[in-house]
Amino acid sequence: MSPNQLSRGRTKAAAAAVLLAATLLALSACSGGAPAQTKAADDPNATLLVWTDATRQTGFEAFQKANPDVKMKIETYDPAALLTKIQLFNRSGSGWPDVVFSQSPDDAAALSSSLYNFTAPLDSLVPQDVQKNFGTANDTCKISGKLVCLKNDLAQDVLWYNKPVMDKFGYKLPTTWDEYQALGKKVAAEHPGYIIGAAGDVNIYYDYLWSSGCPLQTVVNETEVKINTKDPKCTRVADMIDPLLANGSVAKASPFSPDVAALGKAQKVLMIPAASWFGDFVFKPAASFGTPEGVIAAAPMPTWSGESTNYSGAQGGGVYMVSQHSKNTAGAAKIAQWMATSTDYQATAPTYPAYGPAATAWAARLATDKFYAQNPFPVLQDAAGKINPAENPTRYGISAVTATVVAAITSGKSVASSLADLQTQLAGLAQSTGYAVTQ
Amino acid sequence: MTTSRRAAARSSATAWAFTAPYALLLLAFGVAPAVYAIYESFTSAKNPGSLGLDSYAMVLHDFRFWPAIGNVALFMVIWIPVMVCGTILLALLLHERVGRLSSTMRLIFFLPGAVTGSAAVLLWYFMLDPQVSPFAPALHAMGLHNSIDVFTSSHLAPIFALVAFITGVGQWIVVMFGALQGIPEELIESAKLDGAGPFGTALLIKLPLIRKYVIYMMILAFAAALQIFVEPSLFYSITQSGSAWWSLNQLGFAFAFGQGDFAQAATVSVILLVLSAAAALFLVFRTDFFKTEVES
Repeated sequence: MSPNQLSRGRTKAAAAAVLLAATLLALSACSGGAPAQTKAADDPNATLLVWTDATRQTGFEAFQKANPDVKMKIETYDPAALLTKIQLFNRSGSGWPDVVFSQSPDDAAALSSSLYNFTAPLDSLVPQDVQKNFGTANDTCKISGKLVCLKNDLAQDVLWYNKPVMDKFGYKLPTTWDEYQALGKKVAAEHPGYIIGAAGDVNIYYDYLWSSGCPLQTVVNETEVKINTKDPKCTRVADMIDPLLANGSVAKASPFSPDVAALGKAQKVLMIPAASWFGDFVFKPAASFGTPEGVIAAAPMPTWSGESTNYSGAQGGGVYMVSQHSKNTAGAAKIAQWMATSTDYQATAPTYPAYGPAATAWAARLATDKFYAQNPFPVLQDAAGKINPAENPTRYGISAVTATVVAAITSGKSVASSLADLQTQLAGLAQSTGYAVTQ
Repeated sequence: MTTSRRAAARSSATAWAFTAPYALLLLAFGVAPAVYAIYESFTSAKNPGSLGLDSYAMVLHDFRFWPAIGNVALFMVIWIPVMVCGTILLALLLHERVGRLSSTMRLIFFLPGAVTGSAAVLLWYFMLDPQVSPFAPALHAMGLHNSIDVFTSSHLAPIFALVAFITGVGQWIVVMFGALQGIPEELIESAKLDGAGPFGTALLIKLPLIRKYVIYMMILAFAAALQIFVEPSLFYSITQSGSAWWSLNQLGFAFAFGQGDFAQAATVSVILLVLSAAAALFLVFRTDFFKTEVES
């Protein structure tokens, strides 16, 4: 083959390649259109696809048992991939689940936004009296004036503590965060190795910054949020916790780390401000703290100085959402409503039910649970109404706390030193998801 | 004349038949997505329908972009030299005394690479966490007593480099060893006769003869390092150290699936493509990598 022929062959091949690439591009561009906005009338016989986590799966199965006529398919999914999957379904124009359970309330803010356009408003699909029985529990599901989800559980914080060890050391339960700090200093001096909290995780936001009302997710309206880490409600948290991190009475590790689990097993977790599900999910299981019966009790959250209410934060609080693409929206809403409100199911659920009447039924189970040194229900019920309303679900997650505050804590720096970075990152994230940021 | 043309046509057809399956797959799953990403990068999620440089401006001004560049650069500065020098050193050592020990060692070096990326990361997490590691005494001796001592953010790049080296070195040793086997025996014999010791032979005879493989390795290592994703995202979800946008690829993922902005995600991929293509072209044209005996 002469050099000339060779180069002609190459040109032809290149031309063919460009042509093929262009064809493929055109094909992929065609299929990637936006989902259709128009929607046919409901078909009550359409099969409903349910996406759940493993914990809620038993509930959906109980619904299927009680309603054998409803055609449904229950699938567990990877929560970390929820937004990813919905994005891809929006691109392909099919495949959406009809009912979704998500452990993260921020998902409701994202999925109801114009970016995802996923949730169906439930205002007219769920009866008014049922909505009323939720009390304030569904407030965070009301986004831009529409009810976009139903709350499954509340993850209000309480002060979990080890009663026998507290009694043995002769310590009093702190009622203010100043007393909590004083106790931390005492513990570090008298019983080093014991901890009264663990802050090396995003839970420093849920349990400390949120209860203080530090504006990190303070929604003004759909296009505006307030973020201000210089606010005294943020700096007082840093002032309170930094000395305790320095003296070791608050662990620099995550409460879910092997380090803190080892302390939990050795009953060296004297107390920890944490979500309502910590008792059953962190203290009880043998794989976690494996605490024996009759040891753990719940006390009210301490009060921040200058506040009249001992506010709580929230670590989770799952939500049910219904797809606006569903061929059977009414049927899907019925499943979501049953899951959130059925006293039969919620009484056996592992988390504190958001629905008032279901919470009362759930209380009966706690009253007879020998695991707790005292029935924690009255404290949990009180805290349920005290979740600080300063924070709301937002389209941006709170993961910037991990990259700034938690990174500072684990590398031995102070919380105070990380607040400027947190401001920059969180404001950047908020802007990238379409919010204007005010301080 | 006609016969020779016909023969040429036949050999050209054979060449096409051999390369066609690869070329088609490359077009469908390599070139076409890349072309689509380039198109997508000029769109804007905020102003659908308009084409322009909006997404590039937004990515370059994003607070996550430059730290991610810094993290990946640090990882590359540590990993690529260690990988290249380590592979060459081990391959030359194994080639010095070819025998049963050498082939056993080759297998041992290769084994960690047989574990898939994500599983290897989990394995390393357990090996590095002083609470659960079988090497806990060694970690304690280094002053590392719990997981936050080990997985602090400043340690991440060296940890990822370590994991990537151990899992990747075996495959490259096999390649380099193969290249060394290709060196004619007479050449090494005559070097020995001329008085070259094992070091001289390795550095002056063997290394120059396998340098094309070294360049090939550097191109692939550069592209792989630039795209680091599995290690930082898994370590982040297990230890909460680092962030969901530690590396450039993670940032692209966050753009696409965290905030639903495919245009900015495509922009990040185009930036990655340009960087690794530039590095590859530099290595190809500033060295004699693509010169073949036939052409010269």
